[in-house]
Amino acid sequence: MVLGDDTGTTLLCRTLWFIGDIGVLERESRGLLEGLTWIKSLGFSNVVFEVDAKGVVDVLQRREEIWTKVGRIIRASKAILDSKPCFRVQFVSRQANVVVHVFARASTSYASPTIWVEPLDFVWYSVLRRTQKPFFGFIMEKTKQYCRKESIDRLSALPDDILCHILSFLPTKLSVATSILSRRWRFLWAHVPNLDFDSENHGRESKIDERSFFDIIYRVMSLYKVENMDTFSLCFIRMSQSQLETCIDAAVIRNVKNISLIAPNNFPSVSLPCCILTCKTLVDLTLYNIWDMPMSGDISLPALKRLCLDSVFYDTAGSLPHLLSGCPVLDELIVERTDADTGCFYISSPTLKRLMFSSYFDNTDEFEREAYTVEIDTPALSYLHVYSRTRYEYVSVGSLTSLIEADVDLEYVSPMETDDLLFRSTLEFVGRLCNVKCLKLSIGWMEVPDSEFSALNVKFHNLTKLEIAPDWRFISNFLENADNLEVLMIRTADEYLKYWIEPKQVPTCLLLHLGTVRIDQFGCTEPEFNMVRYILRNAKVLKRMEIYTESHGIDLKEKFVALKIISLFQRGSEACELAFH
Amino acid sequence: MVTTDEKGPLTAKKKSVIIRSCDGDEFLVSESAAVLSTSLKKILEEKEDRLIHLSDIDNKTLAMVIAYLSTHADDGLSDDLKRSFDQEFVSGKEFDVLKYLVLATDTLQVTCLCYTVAKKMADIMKNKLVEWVRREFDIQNDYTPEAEAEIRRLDAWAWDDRQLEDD
Repeated sequence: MVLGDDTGTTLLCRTLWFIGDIGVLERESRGLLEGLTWIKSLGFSNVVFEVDAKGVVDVLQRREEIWTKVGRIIRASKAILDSKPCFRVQFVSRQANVVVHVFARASTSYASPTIWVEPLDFVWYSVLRRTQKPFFGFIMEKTKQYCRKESIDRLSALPDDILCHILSFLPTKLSVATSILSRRWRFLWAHVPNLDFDSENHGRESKIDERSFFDIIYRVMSLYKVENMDTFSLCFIRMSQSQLETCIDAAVIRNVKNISLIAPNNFPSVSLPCCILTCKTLVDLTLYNIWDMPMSGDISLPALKRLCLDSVFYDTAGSLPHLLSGCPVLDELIVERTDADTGCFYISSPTLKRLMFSSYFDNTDEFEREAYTVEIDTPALSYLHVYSRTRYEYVSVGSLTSLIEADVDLEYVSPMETDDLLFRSTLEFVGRLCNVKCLKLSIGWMEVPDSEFSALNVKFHNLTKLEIAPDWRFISNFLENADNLEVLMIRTADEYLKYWIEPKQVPTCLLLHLGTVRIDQFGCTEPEFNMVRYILRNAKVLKRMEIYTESHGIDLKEKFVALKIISLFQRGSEACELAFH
Repeated sequence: MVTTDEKGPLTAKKKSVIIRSCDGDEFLVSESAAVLSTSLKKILEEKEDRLIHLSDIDNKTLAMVIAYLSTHADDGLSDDLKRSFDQEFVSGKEFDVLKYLVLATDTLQVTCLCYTVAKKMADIMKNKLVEWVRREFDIQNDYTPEAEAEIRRLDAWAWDDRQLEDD
């Protein structure tokens, strides 16, 4: 029995002995009865009795009659409880009750039952004994041992496979370093399914040469026990072609599922180890700054689901189509294009669901237009992200009937003055996205003549959420064509692109569906007011209009005036809330 | 008031399972939450009984796992919310608590929680000194000094920049 106050400080402890073999319920209920009697005799009130035997608490609370020996004990307990309304019995888990068990065990090393008086620390006792001759040293050792046994080797107590799972989140260098912890950990790392080498982790560039980094990998691989590897990632600064091939070979032999290969930005560069291209188990492949993607030769990646090609250099325009032709179940493709030397970029896959394509290059040279064309032929695609920060790039897509979400960000960096082909191909590309549900569209730095917008006369039947920037002329176009639009978000735009062209007749979506409009970086200009007025007047089911002013350039007074103007606009929907920030 | 009225018949319609911890406490869990654990799913497929006794998982751990399962079984929550719940779930928990959690999730085969917890444990271990790891995780060093020196010599590269190094 351990008596404590409301702060959790232990006040008094007492142990009692019962000789004989008795059942759990009887033992626990007798314990409770003794406790009740003891506390009653001490004259305490307002006491909560925490018992870790569910059965006893249940019987007490159910108030059932049990006509056995246990029943008599329970009845006696009840009698005390009834006479003392401020006593309460509640259940507590065994773990929370550990101190009692420590005492119970410790008490057996005493000559007789004992009472200890405070102060008592939860784990390390400075035990004062009142009634009997103390056996201090002995009892201290005993309780210490007991407490140590509870907490010893907490981490090592986990099974090996869980430990390997934990180690798999560490870089290989750290998981090898755990071999110093204890004998059990000596070769635990050799069973971790992931290997992650990063030359950055192995000292500064000057300290490590290609030989020693390779030696490390070689040593790890020679001790490595895993037959079916999960992930092999390698990020190196200097490594020769043959060393790289040896490393990748070792992973491919171990049926690796994911490979990530990151080469340095500086020369000398390395070519793609060809054994990767026929790895039957590979599911996920990431390549960064790898050269010489071949245009011929065996490619067989029957399990590959995700492919990430960042700054990869291709031999010819045929290299990427050749690679994709060997991936029959490809699901996700991420391409970052940083050179345009190889000409037209052709992405074709019948299975592809997600495509993220981005280009960063400065095509100042007057190459042939062909070089800056991206052709996408992916009929099963559901998510498309196109991002371009070039001077110009022509994106053309095939049929995209399954497309659900698209994020198009084409901000051409100061394109050539009037490039008819550029805006025609861009508008045609946007028109191809007509099946999307969610669309984020950001097309800038392109002076499209108003007349050309009629080319975008395609219905966007499924479109419910549109985020648009910067050319505002797209807005009225989409309002007219997206009959089911519910959410419209308008992001920043440069002044000269903030044209507002009123639709010829009130669009269907304004009458039936458009519920939320959010305008960011509102600049308090004429066309902006015109647009807000038009939407407020004509949107019949609008619930909320949020307007955020630019943080710079608009002072408080101007904001106030703008708010006044807008709040006076006629509203087509009575339920519409206006939020102006 | 309206929500409670709606909730009543809704929860009654849902099937539920009783899970008992090793402490004897019983938890009522909706079946949709329980089946997120591969082990529980298998048990439920095999037996009609709606009571499952888990003899090696204590109250505290089981309560946490069930909170996790119920959150993930809630269709009303977005994936983003669930992700932030996962982060919140493991943050600030003591290593000891995580240990019981990882064991429980391994037993119950709750793969995604097992992943999150194991990752958190690895994060705690990262960049810690050897003595720190031994001390904090109560690992007894059973190497002789000679054996330890030999290991350090053989794989010197693993300790070359004092990550996981002696203090």
